[in-house]
Amino acid sequence: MHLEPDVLIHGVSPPILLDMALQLHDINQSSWSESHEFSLEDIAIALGATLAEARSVTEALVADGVFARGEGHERGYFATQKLGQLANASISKGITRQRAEVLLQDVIRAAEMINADPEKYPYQVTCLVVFGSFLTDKATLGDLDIGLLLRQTVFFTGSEFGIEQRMKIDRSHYNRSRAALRLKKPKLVSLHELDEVVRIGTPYRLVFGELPNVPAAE
Amino acid sequence: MWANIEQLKMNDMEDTGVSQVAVEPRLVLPQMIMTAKEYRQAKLLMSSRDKCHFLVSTDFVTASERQIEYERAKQKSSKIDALVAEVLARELGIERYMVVRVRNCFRGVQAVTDVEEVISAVTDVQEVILQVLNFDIKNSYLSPHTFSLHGRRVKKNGTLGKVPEGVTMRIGWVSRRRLDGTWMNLSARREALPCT
Repeated sequence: MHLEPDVLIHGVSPPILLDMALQLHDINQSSWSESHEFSLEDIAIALGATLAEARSVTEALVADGVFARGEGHERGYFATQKLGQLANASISKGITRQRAEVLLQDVIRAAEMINADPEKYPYQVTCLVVFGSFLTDKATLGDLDIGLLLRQTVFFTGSEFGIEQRMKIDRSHYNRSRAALRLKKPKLVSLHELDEVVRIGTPYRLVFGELPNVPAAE
Repeated sequence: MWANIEQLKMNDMEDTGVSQVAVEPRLVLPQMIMTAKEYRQAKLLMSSRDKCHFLVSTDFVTASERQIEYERAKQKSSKIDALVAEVLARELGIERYMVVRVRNCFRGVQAVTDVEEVISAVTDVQEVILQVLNFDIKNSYLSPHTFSLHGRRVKKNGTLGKVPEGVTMRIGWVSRRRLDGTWMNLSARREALPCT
């Protein structure tokens, strides 16, 4: 999800709404129970607004499906999956579909370059999938969401280093491959692990390599 | 945060095109904006709370008595909180959970205590941005009593932080953040009347 920087949502500035979603999402994640119940006060505190203002915004967000009303509790609200999406949203002007398609080709070329040079990139690209707004018919996208799976093909065997140092070197190799795929455009290309994409249950499309033993959603 | 008034004027102009500090600062003291009855009640509550605090901090009471005094002090604090919340909502429009910006006037290192002086000679401004969670009245060395706001700090990027923050209001400007992200000046809704 992406939010336009200058467009108010139910009269609320996007950075303020995003901050509210992040705070409530954090409370929800830290809760022991599966779903945390928010009171209107919780929402007002997270929003930085009076109770009267928070009430009108909450009603609008309930209508949008960001919150659900708790059964049997008049003043209780539950977080829905949309609250998580809102908390992870980015505020940007977005990119056009044409630009996104060019970027996707660049990412695929970067993956081919990585796989062609295992010495420089010990972590090779097994597969790339695209998901999110790219699969919709929107003309303007928030960013290009890519799911990736990397596999280590060349192992570092320097015996003079300890296990911690070897892990650090492995990590830097892994990050090197990711950085190459991100094309030095972190605001435009958003990389996610493939298992994260599968876990969310969002539709995705394979664009490079072969999927491991996970069912293709599209 | 300390800021030079001229710099503040320029920053305001860049942000909104209107400088808040160009208008006359307001005197925000309990004895000026509370009614006589409210002020008397507040002083009474403060004095009884101070007594409870004194007993809690001494060794002349038993542990159970200390606990009782502690609970009593908490009750007095919550009564003061409710009273101040009502007064500030009515007179200034400051309500709980709002994000407010308080700018107190200073002249050099010395706080200004008279509005007349401010107009001519204020040089520095102390600026605090916080989300108001609690209200209080405190004894001050500059004025008999001052309103005090407590809550949490707003980070530089505008998001609400977790660090506790507090500010006392004397002479200056108070504004609140609207939900659309703009700032609105708050000023006394009626003429300030001195209390006896």
